[in-house]
Amino acid sequence: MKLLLIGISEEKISKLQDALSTAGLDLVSFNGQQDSLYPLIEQQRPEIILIDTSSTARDTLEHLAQLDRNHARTVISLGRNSESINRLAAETGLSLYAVDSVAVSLLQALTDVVISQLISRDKLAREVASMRPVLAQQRDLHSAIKFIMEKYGLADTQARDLLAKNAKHQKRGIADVARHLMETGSLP
Amino acid sequence: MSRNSQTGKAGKFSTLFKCALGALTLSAGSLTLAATPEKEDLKFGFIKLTDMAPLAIAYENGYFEEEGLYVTLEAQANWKVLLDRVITGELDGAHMLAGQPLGATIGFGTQAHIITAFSMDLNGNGITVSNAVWNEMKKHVPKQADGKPVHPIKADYLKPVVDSYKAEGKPFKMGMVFPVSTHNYELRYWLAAGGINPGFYAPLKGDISGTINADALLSVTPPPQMPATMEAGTIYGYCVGEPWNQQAVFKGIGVPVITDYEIWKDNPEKVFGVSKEWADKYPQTHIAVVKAMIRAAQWLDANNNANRPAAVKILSQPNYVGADYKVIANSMTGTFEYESGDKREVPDFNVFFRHNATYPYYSDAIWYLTQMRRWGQIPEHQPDSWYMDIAKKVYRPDIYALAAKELIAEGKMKASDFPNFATETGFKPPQKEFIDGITYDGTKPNEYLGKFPIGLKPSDKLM
Repeated sequence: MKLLLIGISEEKISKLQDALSTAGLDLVSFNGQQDSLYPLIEQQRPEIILIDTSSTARDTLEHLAQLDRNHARTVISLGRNSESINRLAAETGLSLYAVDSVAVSLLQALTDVVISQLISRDKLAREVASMRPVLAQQRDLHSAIKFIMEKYGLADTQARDLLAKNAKHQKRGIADVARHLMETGSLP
Repeated sequence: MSRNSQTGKAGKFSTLFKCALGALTLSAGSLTLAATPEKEDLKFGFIKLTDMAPLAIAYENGYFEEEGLYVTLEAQANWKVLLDRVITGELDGAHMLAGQPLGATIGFGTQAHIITAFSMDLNGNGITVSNAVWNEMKKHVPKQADGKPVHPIKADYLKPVVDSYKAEGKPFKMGMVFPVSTHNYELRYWLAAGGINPGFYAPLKGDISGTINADALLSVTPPPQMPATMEAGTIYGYCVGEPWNQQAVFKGIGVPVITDYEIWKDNPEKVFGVSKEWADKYPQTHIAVVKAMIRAAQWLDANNNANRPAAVKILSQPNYVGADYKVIANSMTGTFEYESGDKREVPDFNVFFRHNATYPYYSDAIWYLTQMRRWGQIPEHQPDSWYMDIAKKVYRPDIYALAAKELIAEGKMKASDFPNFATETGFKPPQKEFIDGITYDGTKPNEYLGKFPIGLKPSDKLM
């Protein structure tokens, strides 16, 4: 089964490639002038097409779909789960075309994978990235307390108290003071 | 994507206050007060073509604000995404090809109920051929005493060129902008009138391509890329709106041979389309939008096109059409340049208001439907009553009339600026000024279809 990708950025394709190929789809990518789309579609006859919503080839694709009923046509709904078609356009900026014989369940599964590769994966990456500084602060604090405990023979609460007082005195955050301590070996 | 900055809230209140005062003084003369729009923050889509002008002017001249509307105008990358966004509600409305609301409502391409209460302009397109084609074609074109070609130039003179390409086994390729675009129908009309068959669409059965029996092969190219695509030799000519015909002249790569004004005098062009759902939800907003756009259209045509240079200056901004002032001015200010140096007066090349250009005539809708049927986009015969029903479902002169009457009551327009709403039927009298001399009567679509030598007849079915 052939999946044609039109006007889709390299970055997006690299995110989609593995998941779609593993599923058994033959991927063909097109980024040329829209007039060469006519011979390409005649030769390749893709069953499914994903096109960038704002691609200049979009109107050409509409024309191709209307010239021949056997060509892939715009998919407006996926039965009961049509909201994923809207999510596909709104969140990933892609539109889906398919020939009539492709099952709705297949298109639904494809849409889910595309959304998860482009949106869910990015979302996870963003979440991980946003957690990074928080975790680093916690790590510094933990190390600083451990350092003070070992160096001055203080209890955990005393070490924490020392850091907090120092931070208050310096008008700096406790994590900041902890980082300073770990970087320089002394309190600011 | 361009976006015009919105008015700040402070500006909004002061304008509203001014409006309220204005309405108050007016109410002494007439008791009509425009109702408050249900939705005041609106986003409209457009394609970068000069005939988006009524939207730009309604915005720039403050007509939207005077109606209490705060509008963002956003250029769209293609006609399909523009329509999709109107359907999903991301856009409140858009500058559309006249065939789009009709095509969508009958389910050709995309199924959605789209309506229009405002026709954006008349004419405004041209057909351009490459220099090589023109040099061949020119040999057959009759000349005036001064040596310049006699206008209008019929496709009869293109036919020998098409035939010679055909004899060499080369399909004669031409560009247009969308399957349901005016340009598709105008190009087909001109070609067929010259005995060149542009082929048929076949939505019912797949194994005959839409180009069956075609002498000319039409493909879709986005308007801004037309000149470059022709220069590359992929297409030999095209039909498109401005400034893309004049640009071929400026670049010296092609010759506009005919304007659509000469194919069908005062033909309807773009419309302002909204979804039926949107119109039902925001009726007062819709009326307010139509009011602002009527005033913009009137301004565009006022005093014999006196405001056109100012309009061109606005349109040349990158957030609107973004083409050179000179290129846009060439067609917007009442002239049209054909072969380089052959600039002729075409005062009605772009009409925005006169000749009731903004009124959504049922007969205009039906003409588009007849062409959809003629070329197989509507695969089966339909009775005259069907054409009438679809036209009434999509074209809404009733909403237009409400907007116009408010403008008259507010003293902003005169009753004589509009059709006589008491007697207007929505059907123009039979129109005779077509390049092939065939008369169009919107009340008899099937009789009309029977008159074309090339095209599906009422009994034909593409199966």
